[in-house]
Formats: sequence, C-alpha cells, structure tokens
Amino acid sequence: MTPEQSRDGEEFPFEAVAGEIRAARGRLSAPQRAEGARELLAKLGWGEEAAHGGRRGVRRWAAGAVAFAVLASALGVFAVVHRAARALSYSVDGGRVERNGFIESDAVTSLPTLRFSDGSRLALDRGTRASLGWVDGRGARVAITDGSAHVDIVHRPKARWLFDAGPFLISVTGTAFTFGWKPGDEQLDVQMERGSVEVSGPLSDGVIALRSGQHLTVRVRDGETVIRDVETAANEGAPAATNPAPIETVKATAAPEASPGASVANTASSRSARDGVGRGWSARLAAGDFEGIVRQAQRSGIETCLADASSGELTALADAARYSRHDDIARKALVALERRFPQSAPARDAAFLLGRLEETQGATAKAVSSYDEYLQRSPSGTYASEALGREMTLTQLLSGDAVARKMASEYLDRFPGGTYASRARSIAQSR
Amino acid sequence: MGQLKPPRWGLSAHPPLRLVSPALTVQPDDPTLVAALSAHEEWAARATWNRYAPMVYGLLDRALGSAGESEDLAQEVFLRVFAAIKTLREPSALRSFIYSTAIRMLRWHLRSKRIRRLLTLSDSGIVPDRASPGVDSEGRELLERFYRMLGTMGADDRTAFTLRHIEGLRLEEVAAATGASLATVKRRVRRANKRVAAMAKADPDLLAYFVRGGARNDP
Repeated sequence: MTPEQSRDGEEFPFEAVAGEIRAARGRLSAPQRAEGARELLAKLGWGEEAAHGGRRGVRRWAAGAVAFAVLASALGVFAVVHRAARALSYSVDGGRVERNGFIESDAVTSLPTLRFSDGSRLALDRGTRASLGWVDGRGARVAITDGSAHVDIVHRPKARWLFDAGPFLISVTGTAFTFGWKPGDEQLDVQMERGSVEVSGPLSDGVIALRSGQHLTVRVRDGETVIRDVETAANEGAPAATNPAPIETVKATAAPEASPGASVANTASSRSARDGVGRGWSARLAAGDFEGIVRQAQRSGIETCLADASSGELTALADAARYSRHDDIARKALVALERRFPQSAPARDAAFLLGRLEETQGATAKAVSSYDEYLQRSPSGTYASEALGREMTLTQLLSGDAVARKMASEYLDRFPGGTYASRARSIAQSR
Repeated sequence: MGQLKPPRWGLSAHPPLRLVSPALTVQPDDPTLVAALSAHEEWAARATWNRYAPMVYGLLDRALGSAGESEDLAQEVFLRVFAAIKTLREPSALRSFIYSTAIRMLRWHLRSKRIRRLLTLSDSGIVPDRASPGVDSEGRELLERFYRMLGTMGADDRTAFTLRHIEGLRLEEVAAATGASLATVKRRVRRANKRVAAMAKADPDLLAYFVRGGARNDP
C-alpha cells in the first residue's frame, strides 16, 4: 500500500481495483487499430495533400488544425451533447440485447433481428454469436465472433457503421450484404448485394474495397484473399456469346509487411474468363470449387489439359491449383500459359505468379528472376508494384542493401505510397 | 515465352546466397517519425498511430471505462499531437509528448463530461459498452458502477487518481504528467482516495467484489 492509501484510503483495496480494471479494459484490438488508422489518415488528408502538393497546403492545414483545435475546445461540449442527444434507437425482434451487449435469441427457433430507427437492419443467422458494441447518431458497431448475419444499412450522410467479424472490420455507409466469420476455419466471407464496403484485417495493412455483386473470402490460415464476382458464376452457363464479368483475385501475403509505409496491399488483377466456358472451370473457380477443378484436370490427365485447354481454362486451373496448394500443377499451368499464349495478358501475369510460387517454396533466386521477367514484360502491369517490392525485398536478402538500393529508388519513384515504400526508404537510406 | 532482355539490374539468375538476419522489418525510430510527421508523411502518421495507439487507448479506456469514448478521444489526441509536432523540441521524446497530450485531452474530456452532467444529460448513452474480455457479467456491472462513482469526481482529482492507482505512476510522475506541483498532486490523490473509499463503503457489493479479487479469484 502506498502512503496516501494507508492514511486516507483505509480499507479500500486500491490495488485490487487497479488489477480488475487492467484485466478488463484498455486493450486495443487489431481491427480497432486498423479502423483507427484508417479514420485518422482520412481526417488528416495528408495523402491528398501530397497529391495536390505543396507547402502552401501544409501551412493551410496547420492553420486549419489550430483553428479546429480552438473551435473544438470551444464547442466540444455542445458537440458531444448534440451527438449523444440524437443517437439512433433500436429494437430487437426475436431476441434481446443483454447488459453486456450480447445479442440473445428469445427461443431456440427465433433469429434475432436488430431494427434501427433510421431503417437499417441486421438479421442474425441461426446459431450466430454476436454482440452490440455501441450505437450513436451515425450508426452502430456490431461484432460477430462465430456465425453470419445479413445487414441492410440505409444510406445517410456521415453514417458510420462498423461490423467486426473475428479479427476483421467491415466499414460501411449504406449498403446491403451478408458477412460471416468461422473461427474454426479462420475464414471471413462477405457477400455484397448493393453499395460498397471496406474490409480491413490481419492480411492487409490497408483496406479491401468491395462493390455490389462481389464475394470476398479470406482464409487467414492460408494467407489467401479471394474476391469473386458472383454474377460471373450466374452468367457462366449462358451462351458463349455473352461477355461475363471478370473474376478478380487478390493475393495478400500471410505475413504482411509491418512497415509504417504499408498501405493497401492491393495486388488485384482482372483477367478475362471468356475462354473458360468449355470445362466450366471459371464458374467453378468463382464458386470456390478449387479442389474439384484440380481433380477434374487430374482425371483427364494433366498433360492433356495443359495441351488443349484454352487460355481461360489454364488460368482457372492455375488459380485453383494455387488456392488448393497443388503447387506443381499450378506451376505447369502457368508455364503452359506462357508457352502457348505468350502474347496474352494471363501469360504476362504468369511470370509474377510463378515468382510467388517459387518464393513460397524457398526458391528465392528463381523468384527474383521471375519478378524481374514480369517487370520486363509488363512494366506497368497490375502486379508491377508488388513485383518490384518483392524483387527489392528478396534482392536485399540475397545480395544486400547496396544491390537492392537501385530497386528501392525505382520503387519510391513509381509507388511512393505503396506497400513496400517504408522498406524501400529504409534500404535507400542505408549506407 | 519470348526472347527476354537481360535482368534489369545486372543480377545473375542465381545470385550468391548469404546468411541474413531473420528480422526483415526495419522500424523507424522516434526522431525519424517526428521528422516525417513534420513533413506530413502519411506513412509516419500511420506508424505513429500503430506504435502508440495501444498506449493512448489503454490509458483512456482504463480511465473512462468506455471503448467508444476512448476511440474517439484517441483520434483527437493524435490529431492534436500531429498539429503540434513542430513544437516538440526533443524528437526522441515523442512517446512522452503523446502521453502528456493524452492526459491533457483526458482532463479536458472529463471536464466536458461534468458540464454535460450539470446539464442533466446522460453521458453513458443508451446501450452497453463493448463487452470486456475475461470479465463476467457481474464484474462488468460492478466495474460500470465503479466508473459511475469516479464520474462524480472532479476532473483533476479523477485524473490524479487514475494515473496514481490504475496506471501505477509514482506521485512525482503524476505531477510531471499533469503539470501540477507534487504537493497539489498529493492533495488531489488524497482527496480522491477518501472519496472513493467513502463511496465504496456505501456500496458493499462493490467493495466485496474488489476485496475478494474480482472474477479471477472466483472458484
């Protein structure tokens, strides 16, 4: 006990109180931190300032910040009062919100639905464990620890709705979507219906933007993020004359660069699936049937497929094999793409994807060569930022800072806000 | 595959391998961050947030007992820090600069809450705060009662009490962090102690909960 306690605190157990509070409060979760960074950077607007540049902007910002601080100090109380006074109200059909925030169903058969006073709605699926974090005038925060829910948010200016799904955070303003988190599989799914959302979480230091009709699947354990256009799957059975929407794939590294300059790890590529109708692999890829595609190829004979498959089929096979960890088949499909369709966009991307495969297998030098080859063939390609960043990183490993420095300079010239900008700066500054 | 140009950097296809440290990530030090923040480098703002937000949020959340309030206030703290970064004379003191800014903002916020209470408006909101992991519902309710109890204190006394007992700072450190004299801090902490002890006596459940060591000591 400290002196002032023994004199004045008498029997009150200050240490025990402190222990309870430290155990219960004060931990900033990864999604909270990611969302906080996003919100802070948006408020700062330094990225825009850099884009529109100049010290005048800096001085204007500083003046604005001082003015804001003064204004905030003067009006803060009333702003808070105002915000508290106009918080949304809500009701729960088929359930209730406990004091601790957990959303409980009234009966085993009922599915709780939260209805908010602005017309927004959240319906839990059966067996879902969820809790209500807070509600204010702009929206609410709901966390799902296991299960899924359908969300329909009414668009309003300055709305802020946040949905935690395991370690991920989904931020929306007005949209309809279904999302779920499977803790056992460490899998996030977000199925968009309308509007757009932003997803942040452990596989990316930035955010993944989703739009209407897309389905995001993140497998944390595999370090894989896949965005599928659901309309593609629906269109796949249509006549070949139709022009299906593209499939997008995003590959986020399982061990994200913890560098300060990391931004959106966006290595998305769009590739045509127009040749993939024959075997239906594009549709099955969109549906997530990766193992099924590989099994069919194995039944038909891998070599046969590699010889007669279309560009779209080879692309789908390569993706399916990569996602299902059949690296050897993925490699063969990518090499076949390069050999048989050398001028096609998928063939150009193949060099990058081969680099990723080689890197995951520890063939670092080969990976550097593949990235370099990709950058020669597609200097402004979809994967250019990622390829240059990986090439720089691996070159630093293999040959040291001096050799990697040229790549770091090129990276900073071309992608000053890119995922690898921080590492590039540290390499460029190393002497 | 078509004919390729030689590698762009004159690298051989198989560069010589050498042993490297497994640590791949280089984190900038505080002076580097301060310089970059002064130049409005966005990566520095992100890095500063990532490095110090847990500290700031932890302080605020333990002091306020509200995740929502703490998140909002943490944002304000960092905006204030970035706005005033050029006034920081010793770049290596970024951590203490952020910490002292957080304490100033906390006191301002507590004063605002008291004014709000004088206006007889609720400051607790209409929904429960985020569930705290590892705390049972009884413990959560009792902690809420404890925070309501703290809410009746003045901002200065409450800040001193929080820093002394919850954050575990020495009295001299509390004085330095709040800009008050040691004598003033002692007076504030003593006053807060007496008040908390008196209020706890009127709430035997709360007192019993803390005396038995909360949920962690339950069978």
